[in-house]
Amino acid sequence: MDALQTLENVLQSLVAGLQMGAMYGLMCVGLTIIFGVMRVINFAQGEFMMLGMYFTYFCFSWLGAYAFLDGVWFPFVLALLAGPALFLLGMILHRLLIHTVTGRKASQLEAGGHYAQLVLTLGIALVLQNGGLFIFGSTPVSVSNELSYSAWEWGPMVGDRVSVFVNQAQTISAILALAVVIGFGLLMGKTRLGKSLRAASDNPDAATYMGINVDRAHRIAFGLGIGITAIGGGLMATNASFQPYIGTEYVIIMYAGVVLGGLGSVRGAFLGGMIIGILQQVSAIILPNQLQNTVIFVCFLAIILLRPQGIFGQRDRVA
Amino acid sequence: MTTDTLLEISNLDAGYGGVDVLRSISLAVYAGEFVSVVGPNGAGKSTLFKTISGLVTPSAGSIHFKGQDLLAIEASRRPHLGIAHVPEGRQVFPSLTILENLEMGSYVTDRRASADLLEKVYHWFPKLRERHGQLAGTLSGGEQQMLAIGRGLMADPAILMLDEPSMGLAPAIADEIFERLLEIHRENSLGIILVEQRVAEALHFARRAYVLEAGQIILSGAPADLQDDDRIRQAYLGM
Amino acid sequence: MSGGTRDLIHIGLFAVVYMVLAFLVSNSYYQLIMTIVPVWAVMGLSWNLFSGYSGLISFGHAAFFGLGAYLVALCMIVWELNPWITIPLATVACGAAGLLVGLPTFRLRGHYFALAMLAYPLALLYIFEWLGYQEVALPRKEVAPVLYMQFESQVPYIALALLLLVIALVVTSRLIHCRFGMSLLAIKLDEDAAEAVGINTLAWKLSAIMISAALAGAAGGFYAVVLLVVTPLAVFGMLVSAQALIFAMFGGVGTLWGPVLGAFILVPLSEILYARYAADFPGIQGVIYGIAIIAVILFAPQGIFWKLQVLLKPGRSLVLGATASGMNDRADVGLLKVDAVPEAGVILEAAGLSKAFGGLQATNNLGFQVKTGELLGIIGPNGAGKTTLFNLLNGFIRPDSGSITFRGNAIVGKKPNRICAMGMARTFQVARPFTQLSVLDNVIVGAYVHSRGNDEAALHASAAIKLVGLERQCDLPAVNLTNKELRLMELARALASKPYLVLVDEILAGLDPDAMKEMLVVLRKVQDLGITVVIIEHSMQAMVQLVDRFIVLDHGALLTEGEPDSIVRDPQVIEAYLGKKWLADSGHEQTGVADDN
Repeated sequence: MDALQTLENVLQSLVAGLQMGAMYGLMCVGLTIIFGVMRVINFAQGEFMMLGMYFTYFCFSWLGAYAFLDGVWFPFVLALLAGPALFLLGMILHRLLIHTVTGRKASQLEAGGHYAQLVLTLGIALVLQNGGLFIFGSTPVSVSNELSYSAWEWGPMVGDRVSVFVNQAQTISAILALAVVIGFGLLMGKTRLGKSLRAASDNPDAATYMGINVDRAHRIAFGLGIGITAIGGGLMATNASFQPYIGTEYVIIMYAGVVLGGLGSVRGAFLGGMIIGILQQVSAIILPNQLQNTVIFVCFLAIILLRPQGIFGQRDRVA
Repeated sequence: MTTDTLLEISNLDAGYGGVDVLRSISLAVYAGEFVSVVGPNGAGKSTLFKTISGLVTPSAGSIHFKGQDLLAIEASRRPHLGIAHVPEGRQVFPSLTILENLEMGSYVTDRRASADLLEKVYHWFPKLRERHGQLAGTLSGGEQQMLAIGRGLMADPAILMLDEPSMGLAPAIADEIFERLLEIHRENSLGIILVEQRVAEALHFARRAYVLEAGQIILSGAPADLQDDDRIRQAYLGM
Repeated sequence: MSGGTRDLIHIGLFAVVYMVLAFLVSNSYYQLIMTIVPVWAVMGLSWNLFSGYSGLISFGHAAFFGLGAYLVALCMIVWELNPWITIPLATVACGAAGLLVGLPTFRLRGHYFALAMLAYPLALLYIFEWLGYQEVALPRKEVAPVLYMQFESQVPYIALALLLLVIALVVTSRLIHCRFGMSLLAIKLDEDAAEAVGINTLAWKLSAIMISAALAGAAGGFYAVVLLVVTPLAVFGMLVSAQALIFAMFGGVGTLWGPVLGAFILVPLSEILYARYAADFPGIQGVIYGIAIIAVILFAPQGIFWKLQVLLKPGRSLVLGATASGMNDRADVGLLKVDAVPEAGVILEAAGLSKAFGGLQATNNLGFQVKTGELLGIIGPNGAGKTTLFNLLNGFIRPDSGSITFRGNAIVGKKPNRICAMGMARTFQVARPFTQLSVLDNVIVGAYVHSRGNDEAALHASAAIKLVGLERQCDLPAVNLTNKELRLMELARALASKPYLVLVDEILAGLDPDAMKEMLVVLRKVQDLGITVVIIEHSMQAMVQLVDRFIVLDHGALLTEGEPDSIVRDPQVIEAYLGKKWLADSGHEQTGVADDN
């Protein structure tokens, strides 16, 4: 393989990495919100991504028949709508189940309730995964339209060699993912609601003194985290096929990205997701298919063992 | 003594995990008054504030604010009534800027009033205006205390509760903060409840004081009367 | 009869009943279930032995299970080795794997630990898939199948599964009744307090994970033999780790029979439902397990077994398993007596100690001496740095600069459990009892560091309990104690380690006058045994009658020291507590310089 071919492969991988990375980044942001505000590690995050995918798929199947909804933009809109839908689901779940093991009440439980949180979300993950298997069936499905199969050609760059093909659907997904993250960043940074969420996360007692209902703040944060990850799932649904067990595959990717960026940091989560995406795609050049994910694991373990607080995290949040 | 009773506590028992720290506490604060609550550590002073704010649920007794039964109101609703709490150890929001901290203080006030209040707070604490974009976690102890007080004032409260504002601060800075507090109190007729371990400062500024020891009020009255009372010395020093 | 012996009897009875059942059941499907259930019970026990006792939640036990399965399977295929050899080998290998996993991962706590453990089996899953071992089938042996653990009838399989379970039960029973179980439980309930009483937390955690991994590996190896086919998802998948956790949690964490109960209820349930409904309801197993976990966490977080135990026999000593009180009445208080030390004079010396947290200087160039056998009081207003000082002396925090010498040895940098072994004990400002243990068990944990066996530990613990006067309460669970009793128990636990010096952190706070008097009497008795006492307090009132000497701290530095009489009248001290203006406004007598406000 000559140098130009290698160059082309590398560039192609980088582009794919950026696209995938943006979507991973979005999902990581969802995960980190929940941890950042509530200090809860949600083992079911992958399953909510899966629900976002199926939401997009089913809406597409049922409504796609209507002519006026037949545009190429439709799947993407649905992916965005998965956000509010799953936001509501997240809020309901919090009110019913999650709040029993978080918040001030929980600090009387063993080990400050951490144990209970981990196990509860594991239970939810199992129910969603397997319930999904029953409801959706195990046949892989996907949401695709012409954009998924079209690509822009960038190049040729060197003579008549070295062209990079940029998939259109993936690019749109990546741009939307970035837009959602920026929007979310604005929400957290500029709005009263966002500031109150950050305050509740910084110091729940002081937040209560300010008149902020910390329980409600957690509920909203949980809903946001689920909703954002669901949008990520919906966007990914236009890319590749999926089945109910797909959550497990992405759980480690999400955690790797979040831990790399630093638990609780939104910037870090997005960046971490991007890095993981790029790593995964670039490693595909040298490694066989199945080992791509192993690379991510190795990264994940390396970060956890060597620098648990990640890039943007703080030391004191390690233990 | 003004006649409006703003805060009234009767026979309050409160504590943690079934153990009562406060026993049969009764006290009152009138509108616009500066009241101090002093006592050695472990006497239950912080517990008193936490109970008023709702982080601790009392096992007996009642608390009324502006005539309303405070215990029937959920903790995060109480600041809406006009009672603000400047907690022990400042407790600023470290990852928020000074300005954002102050904005959180006015979570319970409407937008127009907030802008005016912000100007006032900057007037009393110019340093906060200077550094309004700085992260609160990076401030010095004294600056954090000013921020915490400013944050409390942003709620436009009828009563401001301050829990050991001098703790961990150099005496000169603590003095400055007390002076500022007195000015604010006089200018606005703001009701203040000051909890302090350092008796002298607390008695110096107050109109009335309560002495708390081992969960009970052992003395109350005007500072002049209390100062000559040997029981305070005994409570702190043992002889 | 000790707890260990009684367990053996129960195990024996259980085994007999189970085998009888095995012969009676003729439906081959049920026989298969009877083989699988013990395997999962062993997984539950394995998880319980580590996570149930230490409190470190492992979501990755599938790693060991899968390793065991693949080891046995591959050894049979590649090298024709039979399972009678390879299962024990897998057990040992997985034990080693446990050590390898534990060493780096134990530096993490809480969320990070759980995440790391989650990663290991998933990583192995991908590796084995890549290596091409998607589906590994164990070959059927025509010649001498028994040699390869292949039988015609299902009954021998059941017998072997039962054997595995019995071994696991015996191992667990042995361990939980000796200091292994107690130390782990102490670590789970309060790792810092455990360190402070001399428990080497790292060593115990490593031992626990090794044994746990070994058991999981054995279970996995046998599972491979029974099912005759190994796929990565079946042995490394999340469901495996989840099951190990669920059976232990459902049945009862931290008990011997809990995981067994959990497996015996849930496995048949899910297997039968699976057989009936899997066609219509794929994924039913996962849903059942998921709901089981959620239900348990919400309603009975400790598992069914604990609820039963609390009903049947509250407050028995876990260690001694005695039906009567475990307290040794022959124990004499004099057992704790400290002989005159040759290096009489100064037992503890700090010099130039400094410690800052961020911008706050908590300890500022502090230096002082503690004389052997004295009762020294450390006082100062709130925020003066007293508890920080104790944390520095006791090894929980490392000073930025300075030195600490205890009984002639430099101790800066040593871990708290080491310092405890050297003879320095401490109590905590916020009482840190091991809540689920009885008073006696709490104190026995403290006694382990200088006792050789359970009996000696019980002896020393009893002596300490007598000293503080808690004989009547010795069998009560710690959660039921009053404030005063809790403090006394903390003190007894510290004393059971036979210290030369004990650091007492605010033991009088919040006590009513009578309780306070009682406490003072006890502290005097401690001093009479020759033990040096250093006590932090706010309340001067009580201290003044108790101590020989005071050291006064303010803003982390030494303000002054001296005898009670002079300290209480010292203007500097009055100023530190009551404020400068007190001297000015109140007109109290001043010695010296006119006030210059």
